[in-house]
Amino acid sequence: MIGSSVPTFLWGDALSTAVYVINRTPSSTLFFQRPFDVLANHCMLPPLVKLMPRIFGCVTYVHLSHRHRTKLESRALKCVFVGYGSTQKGYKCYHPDTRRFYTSMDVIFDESKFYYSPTDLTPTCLEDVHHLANHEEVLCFDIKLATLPTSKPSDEDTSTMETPTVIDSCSLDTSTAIDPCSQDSNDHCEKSHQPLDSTLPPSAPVNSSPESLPIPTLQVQPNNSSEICLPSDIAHHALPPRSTRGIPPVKYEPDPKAKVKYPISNYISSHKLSASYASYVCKLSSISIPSTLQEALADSHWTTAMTEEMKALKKNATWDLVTLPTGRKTVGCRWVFAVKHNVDGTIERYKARLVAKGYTQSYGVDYQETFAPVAKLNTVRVLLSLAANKDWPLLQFDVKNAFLHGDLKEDVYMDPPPGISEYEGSTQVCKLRKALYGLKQSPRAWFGRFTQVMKNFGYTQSNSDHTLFIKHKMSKLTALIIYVNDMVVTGDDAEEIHCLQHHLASEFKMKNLGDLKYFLKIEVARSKHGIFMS
Amino acid sequence: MLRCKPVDNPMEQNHKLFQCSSASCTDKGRYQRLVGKLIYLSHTRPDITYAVSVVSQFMHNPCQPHMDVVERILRYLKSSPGKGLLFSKHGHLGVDGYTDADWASLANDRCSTSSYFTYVGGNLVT
Repeated sequence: MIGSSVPTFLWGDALSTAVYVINRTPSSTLFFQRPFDVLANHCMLPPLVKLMPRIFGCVTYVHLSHRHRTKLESRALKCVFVGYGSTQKGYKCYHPDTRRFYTSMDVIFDESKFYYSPTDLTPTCLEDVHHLANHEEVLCFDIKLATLPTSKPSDEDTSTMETPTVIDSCSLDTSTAIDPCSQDSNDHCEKSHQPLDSTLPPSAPVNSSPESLPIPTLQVQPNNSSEICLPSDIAHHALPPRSTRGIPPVKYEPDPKAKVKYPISNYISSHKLSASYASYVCKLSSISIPSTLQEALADSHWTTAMTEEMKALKKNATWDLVTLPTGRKTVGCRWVFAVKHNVDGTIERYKARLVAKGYTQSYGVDYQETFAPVAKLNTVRVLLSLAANKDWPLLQFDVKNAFLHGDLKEDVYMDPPPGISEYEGSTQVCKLRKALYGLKQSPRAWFGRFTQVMKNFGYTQSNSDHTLFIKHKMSKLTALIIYVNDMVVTGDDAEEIHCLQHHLASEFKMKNLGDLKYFLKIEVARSKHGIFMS
Repeated sequence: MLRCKPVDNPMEQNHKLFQCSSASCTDKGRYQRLVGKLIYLSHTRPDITYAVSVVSQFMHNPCQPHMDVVERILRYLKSSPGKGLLFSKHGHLGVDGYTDADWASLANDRCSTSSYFTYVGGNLVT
């Protein structure tokens, strides 16, 4: 401010410019984040406009549009740079002759010159002041520095003058910590240091010893005030009192919900959920799942999961190792990882699954038919309605590794699974006997196997919905509906249901999920009044 | 969408939606994903079934008016979360069917719209 010797009524602009720069400069107290970004985490802010920081008080040339000039007038106006536009995107410039402010992006800067050059100062004093001003503007020491110009600058000045080289290196250090976008003004600062050091005679530091220091600052002050500071200017800029003055606009409120008319929390909230379920929802997103094999091999959880899956595949006799016949192609395979959660959010187990790359299969060679029926929701609703009216129990079963039970009719050759040491380096491939996840015909193979098992057990397949299996026995009825590997069993024959469960468990690896709670992510709740489906 | 204003019905009455002739001008993938989810939701929310059936006619070439209708369905859902089907005990297993038709209603090709719903044992199933 003093360095650029702008009139005192522009102090307000100087202050807001300093605040603007501080807000966009990384701060050590905020772990080198910019205060603006930190604030943006808490409330809605207008988008950050990227403006190059410029030296306060330097000469600018504001381009005038056609409407504001005639043909014969100059195209630009020489102005003072006084800050950054608060409402518009642009640099704020002041034209002293007409006392007008311009906010524009169309501005050319001449940062080597200050608009109000204090011509009557001695060159050394001027350089000192320049030096000081650069420090004040670029490094933004404190707002207090701007508000208490007489006391602080002199301190600053003494330290600068006593050890100029130390301060220079210090400014370099600080400038490295500063936001890269302000780098070019720092460069400018360095540039202005260079002439200072070179032009100064060797006796200059002696001249500006601490005793002589109060003099330049005192000299500047009267100069400044005598130059342009007119009372009318101050009166001109005195703002009329406003009722909203000093109150920040609503859009800066820290709670963005405050201004929303229909927040979603009015309609849906999680506080009614039980504590365990809420923690489950929170934890769902907290665990990372590896996407590549290399990531998985680095973690012992996933490697144990992979060996378990390999054990299960071998026990199931999923494939034979053969050499690839000529003219046949292999199907690739890969690992897919997942984390299974308990109801309270703790991790139940880490799961690894070997899947075949079914998209590399070709029709007629590796597979023929792929269609497999799934349960119609209408049928499910009819069953639920029956169960509600007749007070039948609803039980849910789940088949583990359902697709691995399917028998393959076609010859499918697959690459050996990656990441397993015993297969590495061998030229043999896997000839699949059982279906694998990812193959195109797997669902059909599984459903065919399941239908066979159910028919052997005396159930008849419904013609309207092929996934519904019914057994009549002594005027009692048992019905089973299956959706890939989820099945719902209902009926009035408790003994038959028990039998069915045993029979299925002997054929497949089954999991009894008890009463029906979730079917295809649809929640089913049951009470005395009926069954609720949502 | 989270801050939208809820509405009381899933669709305007007597809508005049038709296939747009120009190339699709809205995010086709987003439209199809949204409608796909709404179709699944309509299994347990029969109140939006008609609106979903209308918007799903434009899956191949959605336009901005169609997207607006989808968003209106979402706004309706905001006003009535947590609804579902209740299967209650009525003590009988009769099948009741109801149907209605709107003759030549579509603005595009004058196709008719027919609808039906069936009760089994007093509970809505289709």
